[in-house]
Amino acid sequence: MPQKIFKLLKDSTGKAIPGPEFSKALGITRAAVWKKIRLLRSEGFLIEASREGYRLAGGPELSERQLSCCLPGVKIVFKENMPSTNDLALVMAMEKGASPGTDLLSALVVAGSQTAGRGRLGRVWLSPPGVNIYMSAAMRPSLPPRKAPLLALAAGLASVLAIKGRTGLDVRLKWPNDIIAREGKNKKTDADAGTKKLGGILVELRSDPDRVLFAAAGIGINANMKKTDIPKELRPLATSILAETGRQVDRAALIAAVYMELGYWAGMLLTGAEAGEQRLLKAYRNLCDTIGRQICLQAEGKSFTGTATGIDDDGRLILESAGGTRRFSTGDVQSVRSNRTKN
Amino acid sequence: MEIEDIKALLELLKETDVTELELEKEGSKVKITRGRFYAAIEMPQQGPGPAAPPQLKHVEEAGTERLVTVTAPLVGTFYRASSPEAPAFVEVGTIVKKGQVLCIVEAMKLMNEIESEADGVIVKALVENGQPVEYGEPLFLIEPSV
Repeated sequence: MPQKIFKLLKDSTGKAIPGPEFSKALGITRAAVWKKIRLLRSEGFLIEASREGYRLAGGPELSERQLSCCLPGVKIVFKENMPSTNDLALVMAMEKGASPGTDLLSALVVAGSQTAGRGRLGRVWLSPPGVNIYMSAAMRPSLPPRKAPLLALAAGLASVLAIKGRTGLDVRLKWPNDIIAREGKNKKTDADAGTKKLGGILVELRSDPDRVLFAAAGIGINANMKKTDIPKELRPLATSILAETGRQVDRAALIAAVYMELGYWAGMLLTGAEAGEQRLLKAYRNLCDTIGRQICLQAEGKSFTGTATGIDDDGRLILESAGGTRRFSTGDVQSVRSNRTKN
Repeated sequence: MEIEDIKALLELLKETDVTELELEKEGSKVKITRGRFYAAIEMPQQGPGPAAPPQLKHVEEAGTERLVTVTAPLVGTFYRASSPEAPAFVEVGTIVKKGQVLCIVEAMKLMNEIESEADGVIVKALVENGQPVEYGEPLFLIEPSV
């Protein structure tokens, strides 16, 4: 019930709603309305009461209430601070009594900040409070492990499409799933045009030889972080939605959009039909900035230089170099020149 | 701390992945380590010394047909630990439980923790850390416990 009142207040976008209107819409007494308003206030929402009615004048921009409003019916855990959203999402996916393969998306975990945010191989993911997005989807997908890597591509694709949709920003994916802004694409001097990182993804999962048991898709997006808040040494490499567009983004709405896109694209893999996989791969390739670039790939403790000619059906990067063609399932991509030979 | 409390703790831990727990309460301290067993500790010294632990001898005598082979369920890069600084999940000689994490295979920045299918002892680790592995490639040999 407080959720319905909150939604009405939020949807009226700053206009006051008369008390009787709530009573009528929800079929409760004015006293009951007042009680719910008090509850919302105790959660930190600023609700003005005047002769015109109640008006939402402010409050926490990102909270469980805000998220539930965008994703009704979804199990959501929000905390101002936690070590890592992926850790909690994995625990939630593995909760007692849960059986593998039963729920593509079983819960959403969101943190205001992380104390142990991480990337692959235990690398640190910068997670300051109050500005960015740190989210993980707890998953129990019904998939064989060899298809699981496509989940990582689906998570990247979902993030990019959601950011594009909410902000209009021209974001792309650096293989496999770094979210990058195509900043500086007109600058001739900027050799690394288009490689400023806006977000990253880390999917962690448990599997036995035949099936995926549980997974957590962790997504970090630099949202409302000011350019000046990005550590100096990272500024040539990292950016945020605010730094790119000059506008704040509604984090709860963006998180909800990513979650829904993830459900859509990861769902393509579950049918077991070739068509769903191919649709996902096609959409991914369209937004993959790495294809056609001269790159230097750090993998297996070595450097491989060549042209990234494509992404195969397993999601691997195809690298053509003087020594021949090789496919990679792991590696860090650095682009060598920004001129593209294809795409 | 009463013996009953410790029993209850052990029961509780069975249902989790926790391998080590240290607890201090009212001046008494208890430390529980589960599921990890390094053969190195039990290995006989060079020269005369105590005999090898029976379970390892058993392994040597056992034919390979009894061993469980853990294979890579996907193409990717093989890791023995969760990060370069972390200790390996398992070593040769580690006693493992069904469901215990043995290693990670990474593909497309997806970290896939591979669980053991059997209770037993790791008798062989077949792949070096950081190496690419193919689908179905053998990773470990486990001597299952009877």
